[in-house]
Amino acid sequence: MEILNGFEYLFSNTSALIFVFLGAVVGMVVGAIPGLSAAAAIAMIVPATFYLDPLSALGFLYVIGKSGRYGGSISAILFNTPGTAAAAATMQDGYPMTQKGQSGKALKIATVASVFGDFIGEFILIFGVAYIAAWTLSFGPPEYFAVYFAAFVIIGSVIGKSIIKGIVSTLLGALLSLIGMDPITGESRYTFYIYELENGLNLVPLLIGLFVFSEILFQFNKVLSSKIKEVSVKLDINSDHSLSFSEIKKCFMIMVRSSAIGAFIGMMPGLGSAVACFVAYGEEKRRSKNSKLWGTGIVEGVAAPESANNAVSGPTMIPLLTLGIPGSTIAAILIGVFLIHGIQVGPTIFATSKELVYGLFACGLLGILTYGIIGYFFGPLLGRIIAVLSPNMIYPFVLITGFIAAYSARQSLFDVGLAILFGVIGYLLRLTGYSLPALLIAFVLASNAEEAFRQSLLLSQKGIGIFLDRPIAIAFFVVGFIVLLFRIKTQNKSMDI
Amino acid sequence: MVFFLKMINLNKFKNFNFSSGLILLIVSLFLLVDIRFTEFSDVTTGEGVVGPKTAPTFLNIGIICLSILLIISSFSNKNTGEHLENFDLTLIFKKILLILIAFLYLFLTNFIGYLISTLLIIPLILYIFENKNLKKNLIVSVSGALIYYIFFIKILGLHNPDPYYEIFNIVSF
Repeated sequence: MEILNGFEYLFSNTSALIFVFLGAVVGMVVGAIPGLSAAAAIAMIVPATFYLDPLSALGFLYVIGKSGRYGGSISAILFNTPGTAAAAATMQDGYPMTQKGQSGKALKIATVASVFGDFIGEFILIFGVAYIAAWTLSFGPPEYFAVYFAAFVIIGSVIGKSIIKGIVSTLLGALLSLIGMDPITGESRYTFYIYELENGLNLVPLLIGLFVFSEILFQFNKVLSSKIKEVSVKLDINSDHSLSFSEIKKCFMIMVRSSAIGAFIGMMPGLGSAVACFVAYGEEKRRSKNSKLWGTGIVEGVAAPESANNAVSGPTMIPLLTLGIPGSTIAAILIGVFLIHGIQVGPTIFATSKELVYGLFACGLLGILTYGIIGYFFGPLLGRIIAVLSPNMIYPFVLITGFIAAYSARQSLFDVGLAILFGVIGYLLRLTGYSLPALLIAFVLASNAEEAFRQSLLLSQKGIGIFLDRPIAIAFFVVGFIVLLFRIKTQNKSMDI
Repeated sequence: MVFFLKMINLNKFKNFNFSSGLILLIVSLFLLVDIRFTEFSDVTTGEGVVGPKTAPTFLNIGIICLSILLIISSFSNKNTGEHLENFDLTLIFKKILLILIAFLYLFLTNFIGYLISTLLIIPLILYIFENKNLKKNLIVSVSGALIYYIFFIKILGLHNPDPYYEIFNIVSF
């Protein structure tokens, strides 16, 4: 039971315990603020974690990701505005419950379902990841290149509405990662004689630009048109805020099935919470004998998307820890934080940093419990606070914080300029339908992919024929192509390429 | 500026497949030419087959092919679901102003240090976000700048950027 050693490691580190608690609170607040995603919050906090020990830093960010997913449900239920994209399905029944004066009940079932789903996802991660990692240990450069190739194709084709734009986003991210010194020859590429680019683009300014500055520009219309401000909070109307045991029992099987859906989708790189919650909501509505009641404000309609949404969290770490492939934006940021602390992500992590990995899992379990308790008892209070905060007062400070975060990574004003530039580029890419998560994930992975490709060819006696000699590599290439073909087939029906 | 924007037939830009495809095509062609004409040694790359040019070449060719597909699709696919919604010139100007203010903040921090530039910039950003109560903005700016200073520079130990003009060292602490 390695997880018990993980808990022992966590409880011997007071700083990590404090940061797990802080992460649960910060994630909930950020997730509940409409428009401000957990990824944006993590991007701003990453530089501050440079000064922490690895467990505190990773545990803090990991728990923010988890509680941020849950926090999105608070504003979806109370204000009919999802704090995160993943909470959009929760609005369908959550807000009608608020209109009926059952906001307390809706928030409680959202908390119970989120905690349930998150625990299921985390247990799948804890008990499954080591087996997969043991299998992937035998991979050499050709297998790794095939894995990266499949990841690029899958992420590029499934992450956005348009396949072409998704793949272009992936290629752009890969191209950005090539800026700087070539890893094998040490010669400069795409630096255009700019000294600061010699060491390549730093992850932090890219994150700040793509996920903070572009978000501010994107939310600008909403903030000024006061769509967020004009929402009302109906917490005190009526009195049906309690959640009975029979209601939890009624939702139990829904939570089990939805968590399974969420966990499965979480393991697939690129799909994420937003897809999981809508799939689970649709599936449970289809199965329900009273499907006509769905959308009118019933507890089942909140339980299904919330379990699925949070069950995604743990399994997104499976491709990250076993293959070094981040399945989501938050996982992509975490891979950067692992590297900043000198830890190579991949199957060898279970040999080199086993204690840290299981400590991180323990942080996840403790974080779930923490946000569950806080959310269950203080969710409505948090809703009141969020309602008082004015977005047009919050966003200027988000901008200044992003500015300082971009500077603090390398204490370089050049990085701040890059962050602003990527903010504009990210805004234009989002506006025109390109995928920023795909770009970021490719940016994080591409240098390793290039290295694996070149190492494979250097090992090979017959050029790219080496990939055909490796059955596992062939399997990954085939999986990539099958997913791509499947997406093209389904996309053709909607005529949106 | 308004005249210039009106001169542009916005209908041409309603389909972002065309405009974004065209920009990507130009950029990736430039990057492809750049990498092909850059001289690299082939000492460590064996026969020079898998040198530093390989990955950028493949990636740029990929982007070129896909951007051509995007341009073609903009003529055949009329219902892309992408168009400029609620095109509002005032909002666009405000966004451009916000970007310019961000660059101004960068420029000022470089020359006069963090504290004064932050005190000057926060009220401007608050105003752009339609916080028009001057007194409140000033209080928020001063307290905000000081909180950032104490948290990031004093507690987290972040290096305060040295102002270009030494006279501002007096207030940059």
